[in-house]
Amino acid sequence: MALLLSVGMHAQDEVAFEFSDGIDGPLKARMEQNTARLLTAVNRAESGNKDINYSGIDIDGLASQSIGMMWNNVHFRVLDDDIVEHCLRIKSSSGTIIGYQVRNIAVEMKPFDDSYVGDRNQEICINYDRSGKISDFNITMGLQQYVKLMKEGEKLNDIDRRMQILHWVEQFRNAYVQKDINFMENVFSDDALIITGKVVKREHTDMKPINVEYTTQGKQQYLAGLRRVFRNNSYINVKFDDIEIIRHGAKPNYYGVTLKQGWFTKNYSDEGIVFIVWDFTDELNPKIMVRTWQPMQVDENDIFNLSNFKLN
Amino acid sequence: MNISNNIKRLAVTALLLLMGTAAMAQETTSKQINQIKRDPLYLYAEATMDNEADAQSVAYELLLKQVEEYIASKSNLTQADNVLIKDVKSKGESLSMMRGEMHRVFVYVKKSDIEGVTNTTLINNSTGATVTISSVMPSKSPAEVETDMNGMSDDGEYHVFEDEFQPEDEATQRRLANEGGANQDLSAAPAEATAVPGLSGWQQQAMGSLLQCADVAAVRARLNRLKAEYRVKRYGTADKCPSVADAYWAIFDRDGKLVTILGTGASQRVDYRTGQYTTLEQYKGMNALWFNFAK
Repeated sequence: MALLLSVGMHAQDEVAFEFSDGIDGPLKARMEQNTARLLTAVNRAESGNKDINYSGIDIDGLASQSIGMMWNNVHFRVLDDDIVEHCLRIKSSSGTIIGYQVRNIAVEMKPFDDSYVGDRNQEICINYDRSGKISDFNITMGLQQYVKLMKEGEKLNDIDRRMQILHWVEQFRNAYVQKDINFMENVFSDDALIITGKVVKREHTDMKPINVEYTTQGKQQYLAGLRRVFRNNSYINVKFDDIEIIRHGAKPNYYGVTLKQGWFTKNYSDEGIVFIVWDFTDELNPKIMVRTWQPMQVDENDIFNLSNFKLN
Repeated sequence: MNISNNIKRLAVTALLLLMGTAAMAQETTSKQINQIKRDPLYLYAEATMDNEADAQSVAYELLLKQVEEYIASKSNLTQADNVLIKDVKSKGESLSMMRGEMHRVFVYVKKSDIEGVTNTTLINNSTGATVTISSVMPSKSPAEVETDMNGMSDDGEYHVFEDEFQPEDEATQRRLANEGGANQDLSAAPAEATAVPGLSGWQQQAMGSLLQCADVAAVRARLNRLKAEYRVKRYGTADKCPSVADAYWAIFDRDGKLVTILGTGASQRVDYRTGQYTTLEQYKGMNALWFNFAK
């Protein structure tokens, strides 16, 4: 009976995966097999309440580390046992294919305890390099955001760059969830400027305008604070909404990303407006030059944008 | 006691049967979805969201993108004068199912419903409506007219409505944000705006997005956005215009609704809504904002 149950459980963990379009030939078959193995390994680890076994899976060390960091905070399970999806091509600004991506893989989060603050049902996306090796694994942000950003990219004829930016913004968000301080260390430029605002409390709450005080930090100061937060919280959930991407008119490798950030831990939550300046001069290793946080009450005209910063 | 226990057993059995039936129905829909995905005769898209209406809306947006990419890949379609895409929403089919507590909507359309047709001006947009794209080509070249520096042959003044430029209240700000004033969909913009002389590619897109604005507030928001993107150099009210001839002019009626946008010129200017040539004098007494594109 135990053997039958065990066989049954393993059969339920199996995930079949197939691309419907977007890729052909031996690379397609290899990527499909690799993806099926990874998703099956995730389900087996969840069933057995153990670490994910990556043997036999062609996956980048950083990607497996990224999954592992998420796994340490919350387990998850792939919802479907038979997945068919589009293969999306990731292109550089010159149109060369630099990788592939699959989205819409539904997972159910399996938290350890009530410290988890977030949606139980999420979707993940998997990135592959040109050779088909799995290079990244992220929980995606909302579809409406994705569609909106893609439509803007069509208008401004930089859809490929926007897909890259979206991918990096998703990684950035996941780095908070995974408490990936190494990612933060690498993604912030060494001379990054980090500005945080806070509302100065007033005696009469109906007085306008709102007074906001700003604090400026360098990269290492900010990361030191982040390390403390990662250490003191068992689970951090970060949500990004209302994302807007603006390309610098004179310096097309620079993009300003404005978004609404929700920050949730067991004992604290807040919402604010985050503005990030991304430098895509090195497309494979973009850097954050500026990151600002402002409270939601800030006047719309005072929200930071590209024109507030002089870029070299 | 026995009767009560029997009733309880029956109720539990019925409940289990119902749950099992629902699960089987989900599985059937899921299998159906995968079958369609595997079938090369179809284009598909899907979305999983909190509510079904949002999921359907997003799914159709994604399906339209698939259709556009399919068209781009087919030379016989791109070579046609226009492409008639049968109404995606009426010809497309959809399947729905629950995914946990979320709604999953899957939409698909047959590739054979996408045709290349010459001499037609019907293009389907994401709302399912058909839009006729009219030409914005100027119908005649402007005549040379000598005027003074301000391009005005009389002392006609343009209404300065500085008092209307009050900072938007919260409700207006929210409305503009919801309308996506700075990111409005260009899908209904005149396609031939790309053929208008004197505007580069990005200027045509910017002009198209300005023409989509409904009123003063939306135009201001859009100009602010274009300024932040370094596409618009400056803008302002009529009394602050340093060179009337070198400026583009957004004209508004008394209710603040956008009437049209005029191009630059000493006298004759392109009306970007109609493609005809006109003069600024035609709009004497109306509200206006001027702007300059960045070089």
